[in-house]
Amino acid sequence: MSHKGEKSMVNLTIDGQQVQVEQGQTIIAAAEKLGIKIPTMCYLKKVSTTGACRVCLVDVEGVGAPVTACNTVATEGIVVTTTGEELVKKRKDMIRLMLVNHPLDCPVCDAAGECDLQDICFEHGILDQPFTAEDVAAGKITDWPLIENVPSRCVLCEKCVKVGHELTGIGDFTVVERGDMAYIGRKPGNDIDPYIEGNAVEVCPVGAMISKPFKHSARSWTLDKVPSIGFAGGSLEQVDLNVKQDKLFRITSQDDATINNGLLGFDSSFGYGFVNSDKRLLSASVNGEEVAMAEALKIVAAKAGELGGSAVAGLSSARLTVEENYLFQKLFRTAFKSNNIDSEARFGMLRASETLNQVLGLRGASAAAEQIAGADAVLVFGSDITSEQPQINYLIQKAYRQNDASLLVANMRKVRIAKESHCFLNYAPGSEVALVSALTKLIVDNGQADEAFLKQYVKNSADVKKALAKVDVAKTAEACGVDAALIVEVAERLGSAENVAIVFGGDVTKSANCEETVKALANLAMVSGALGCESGGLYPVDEKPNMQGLLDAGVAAEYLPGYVACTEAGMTAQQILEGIESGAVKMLYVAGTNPLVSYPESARWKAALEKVELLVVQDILASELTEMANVVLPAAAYSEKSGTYIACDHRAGVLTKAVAPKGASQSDKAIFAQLFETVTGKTQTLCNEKILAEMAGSCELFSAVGLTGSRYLASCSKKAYAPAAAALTFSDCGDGAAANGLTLIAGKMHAHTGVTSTYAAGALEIAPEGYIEISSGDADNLGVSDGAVVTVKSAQGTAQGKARVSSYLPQGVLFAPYHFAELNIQQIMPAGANYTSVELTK
Amino acid sequence: MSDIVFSSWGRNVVDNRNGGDADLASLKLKLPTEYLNGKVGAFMGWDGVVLLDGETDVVAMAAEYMKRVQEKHCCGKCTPGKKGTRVMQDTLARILQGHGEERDLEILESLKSLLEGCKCTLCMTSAIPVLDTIQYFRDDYMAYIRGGKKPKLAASYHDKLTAPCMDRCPAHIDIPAYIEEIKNYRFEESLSVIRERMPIAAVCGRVCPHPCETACRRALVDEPVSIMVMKRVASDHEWMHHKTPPMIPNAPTGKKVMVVGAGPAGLTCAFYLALQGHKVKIIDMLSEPGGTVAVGIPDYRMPRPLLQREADVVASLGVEIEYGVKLGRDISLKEIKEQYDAVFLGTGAFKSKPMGVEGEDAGYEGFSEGGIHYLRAVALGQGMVTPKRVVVVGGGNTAIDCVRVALREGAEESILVYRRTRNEMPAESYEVDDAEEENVRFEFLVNPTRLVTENNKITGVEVIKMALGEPDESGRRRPQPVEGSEYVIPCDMVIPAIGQDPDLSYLGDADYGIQQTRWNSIVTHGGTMMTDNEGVFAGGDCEYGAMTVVLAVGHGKRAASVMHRYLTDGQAVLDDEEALEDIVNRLGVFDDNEQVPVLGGLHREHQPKIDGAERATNYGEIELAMPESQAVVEADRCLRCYRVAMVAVEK
Repeated sequence: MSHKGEKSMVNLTIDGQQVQVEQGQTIIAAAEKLGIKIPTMCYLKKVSTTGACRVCLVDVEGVGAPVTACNTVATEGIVVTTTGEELVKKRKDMIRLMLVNHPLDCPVCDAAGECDLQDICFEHGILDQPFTAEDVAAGKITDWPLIENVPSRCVLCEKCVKVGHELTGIGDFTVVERGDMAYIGRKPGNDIDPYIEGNAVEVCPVGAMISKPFKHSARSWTLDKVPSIGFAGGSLEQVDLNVKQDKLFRITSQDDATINNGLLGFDSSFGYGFVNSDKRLLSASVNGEEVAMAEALKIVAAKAGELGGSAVAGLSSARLTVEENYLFQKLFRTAFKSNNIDSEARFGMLRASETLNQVLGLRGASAAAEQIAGADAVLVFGSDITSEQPQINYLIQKAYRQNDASLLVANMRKVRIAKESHCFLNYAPGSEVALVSALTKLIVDNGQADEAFLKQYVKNSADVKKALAKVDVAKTAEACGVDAALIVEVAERLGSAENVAIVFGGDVTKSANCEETVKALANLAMVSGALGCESGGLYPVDEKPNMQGLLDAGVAAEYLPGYVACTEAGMTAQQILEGIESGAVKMLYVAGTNPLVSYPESARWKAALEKVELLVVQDILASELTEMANVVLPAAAYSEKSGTYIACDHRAGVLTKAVAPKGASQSDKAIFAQLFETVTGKTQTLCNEKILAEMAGSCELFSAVGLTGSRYLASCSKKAYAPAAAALTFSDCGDGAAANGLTLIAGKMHAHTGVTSTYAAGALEIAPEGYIEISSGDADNLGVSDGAVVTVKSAQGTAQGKARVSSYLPQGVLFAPYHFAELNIQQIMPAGANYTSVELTK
Repeated sequence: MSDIVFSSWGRNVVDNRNGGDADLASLKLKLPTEYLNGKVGAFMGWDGVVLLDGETDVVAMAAEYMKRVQEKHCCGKCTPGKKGTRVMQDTLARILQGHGEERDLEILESLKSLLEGCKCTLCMTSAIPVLDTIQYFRDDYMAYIRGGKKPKLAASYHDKLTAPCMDRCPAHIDIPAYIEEIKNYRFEESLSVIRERMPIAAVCGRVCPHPCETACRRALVDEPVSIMVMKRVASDHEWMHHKTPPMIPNAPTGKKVMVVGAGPAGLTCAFYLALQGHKVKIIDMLSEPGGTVAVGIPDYRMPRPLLQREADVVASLGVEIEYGVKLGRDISLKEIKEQYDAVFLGTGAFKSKPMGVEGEDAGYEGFSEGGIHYLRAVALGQGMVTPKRVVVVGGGNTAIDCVRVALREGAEESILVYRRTRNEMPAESYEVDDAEEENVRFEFLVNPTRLVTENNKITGVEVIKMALGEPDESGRRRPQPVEGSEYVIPCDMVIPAIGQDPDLSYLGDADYGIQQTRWNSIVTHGGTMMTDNEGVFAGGDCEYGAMTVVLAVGHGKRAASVMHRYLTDGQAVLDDEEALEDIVNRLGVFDDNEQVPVLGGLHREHQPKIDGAERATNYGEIELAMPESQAVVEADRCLRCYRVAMVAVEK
């Protein structure tokens, strides 16, 4: 909450003790430093001061009346007293006022046991109530998705309002009405993709904001809080899994103790329910017959042995831990003697990773995610960051609001963060490369390029101008459908910023132009100083929690763990598909992923999978894929196993086993290990540290292996990115393929992650089914009304779904979320693309 | 007989109930006895109760006052405000219904001290008049409590939310509200609050003399809140984020209005009339919008592209703006009246006052007609050549602008001549500092006596030294010439910048029945901004004489509001809000003797500024935008000094 510049210190005295704090700090913060607790209901350190409850009254010498400690800034030499008969009497009266008409429904209130109002009444011995008034509180609000609001319990501390507006940038809560009728309402928001701020429940000091999925399911004090990490979004928020009797009830987080300062993403707040789904796979089966796990594994081992080598292929998942993915590739390479392994990364992040490595020697983000918060300009390119990685969004919000950073958003759709941006470049599909190159050229032409960095690290720095010579800003603007002046402004803001962070996501990594766009973004990163600055960097992001760890573990035909080149021949996902079609691949082992829904050309995959001799599916939930499988292996969900996820910025978070695996399910790690042992006769350790150490021993990826941290752990650390002199390449980028006609983009919507979330009631409450979002202009032209069933047809196939008329899309662009098996939009997507030309019919 | 029955206003208790002769005048209480079409029975507010009619039921009034405070004004954002005033409202209502107990009075008394712990002064000060009634009209309360007494409601009650700053602001912007929005990082909402009263926040966020800041209670504990700059922050946010303003005009009314002058008054008037659905056309004699702001305030203080953006926003509401059309030259008022349902004259003050020095009308080369003409010629690129040595005469903002523009136009020496000292200069002191930093030379306590010429060309100006004597009616010490102290300041150009008058020549001989003052300004009536010619309204400099942008905005807004009533009901009258606004304004809201029980010691945040040498050569904006995070810190200094006034009107 501070503008730039050195802060001086102020000295004050509280209850006779001297303390020194930074200028601008409040009395309550100074008291906290001394360990003096001043009672309060509305103070929340991580948001701006509110001063609503008026309980934290203190006396300051020379000031005529008590002042509130929470929002009174400490000034030099003040003498503060925090206790005294008068103060305590006033505080107690304030609490009594708060209690006027507060309902006595504590026995059925979800906050009971963790209610600040209960605590403060108890601490102050509030036993009487001299004040009476008519109860004018608004009625309970039950028609919001996922949150129930009980105004009569609300103390109007505004924490929910502020956490949403100031920290996450998403919240739409606001105080409505006047006087004692005032309560928390919502501003009209995006009804296509309505976001409900789960952090409101986290910060509510009473039982006003209630999570519907959690409501009345457990008493807070009976829950064990197991430290772990988030299961969605590659920035791995530190959380507490709230469990009881082997069931996950909710996920919470803690301020100060966590790197995310208590902030949760949507999935942690509401999307965790799939682990308790009645669709969970509880036992192994072979051709529909329930069998013991060992029995099923024998069949798998036998078939693999029978077929041998290249007829066996496997697909793994970014939901699986590093250790599990390591064992997966080890199982294939050393036990099955097959190098045909791959994952969905093939269609996205692996391509970005390959390109970054080629030009920058970089695999993933160039710096720690926290650096984003200190940036002076943030460019969010081709990412619905709010949805893809909430925690990265929170860091961007911090840069924007607390560091006055320029917020620059480039996207084909008016994604949520665009509404906050200084400049929004709503580029047309296919114009990505041209747009990024134009920005780079403008920065160079303005003389704002980071010459020192270019000179030291870029081997062809002399070619920069030449490579950009062909870029025509006016033509680019036309191709992008963006005002040229806006492109100029974005370049100016990036060029003049000392610290630049560039974030890009699925819209780039999964697109047909991925490689060229990433090269262009790498150019921009070098020129804008993103790679050379103190607080910024280049950040490829992905919605999946362990996308980085999956790649690091060597689940790709061409790479052993740690990107060590693999000399054996192997098939990529696309080659596996073709191999199945040609009959070369006879056994497919699918672990934690579903090509029938999440892979491009999903219909083709479905047809191919019918032909496989042995289809092994290891997953947590029953699906069309498990229906097709010969062998089904039930896997443990993330709350039921331990291991490492590696965040997009290389931080290793530790997943903790909080509950026992459901039914006969086992962790993916245990299944791989048993299979390995069955085939090879060797023992395979299940110790995460040993597996990581084995992996670390075979490559140069890690600087250390071993558990560190107190409550929230890390299991290893990776070497930081440090480019060598003259090691980087400035690319001469092509134009990339342009899109023609009506273009449909497939992507993530915020309430869903992958396919598993379609088994979570919370996520389904926001989006119960897939839809085809269409601009109102196109809807009018095509005579499509909201909710009407439409068919979209591409060269790959057709899909059918309900139309949602939207103001978030430009004309000519359609959008469909990919998570839903029924809509199955991926059946119309070509391999290695996330948008395609379509015809739309009613 | 005295017009006051009882008063506790200002903690000064006068009780004439049993005789006594203290009246409004003797108490220096500027409270009217009439309100619109009724008589003032009593007045209640942050500083007490004034009872003018002994028949007015103060208990009933207190109950109504607290009801309005709680249900209409209390924001609900602090415990004592939200709950405490509700308890007070219900307790008073119970007493009024005859269900009260004596114990209730103690509860009310105890709540007063809790309300002193409120987040802002709205609910806090609302307890003061209510407690005064309990203290001084206890018998009336006891009559209710004992039973039998029936409430005697006044014919009507009218309430008004105010604050010292918003009262002092001529545009009466809800300053605490827009500052609170900034404190909460809600910049768009902040601008929406400003736009309820002022459409040109980008201008008043930069060049307003901010009278509001002289009525800021924060100044009583440290420094005033930077109210003006907060306005710029809100306005710049929308501009810097490429946001489209959110206003949507009402359905068309079919009424046509002509606004003469695209200056602050005209733009404001057009903005609010357009929002009401009236069809508005603006004509202006210049080639661009802004009037004096465009051609009288240099770009380094007010960049014209931003002024243009404000006019574009007005135009986006459906207002047609035609430039290069001058009233009296290209079209007559008579013609306008025939074609339009109402007219607003916002023609400004473009005539320079003469210095009263021999030879100033002789047409010497190097003698400028006046500061405003010089600035306009430079702004519009009309071939004004500025020579090496320039002398500007005057001490106001225009004079300062002239010396600073002269430097930017290539003058090697730019000299300001003023007959008093720096302390008496009407120009903003920071602008005088700015000019000094840019190497402007000041000659204080001298006055021009003669133009020195050679071949019809200025070569210097003779000045005489002055000494300060007794204070004049403006309170400033009157300068008097020191005999025989004349000397010549050599120069190539003399620019008198000692003030402007409206040029009302367009009224011609017919004068349309429109009264003028002896200072050549238009007379309007009763705060309605309507002239003697029905349907013709006027505001800004042409009505008041050369004054501030914010006054022009206030006039434009008030005129639009009254014109709307005139256009729809045929009545050019004030509404309750405006009538009370004027009453409260006469009474005064800021008390500079108040002891404010708040911890001070927080300095005011300042915008970054380009340094003197660097800026003096170009027209780039001098004051840079305050980073939003810094604005949030500054906004947090606001004490939200709301107050609620209520008048009981008897027939």
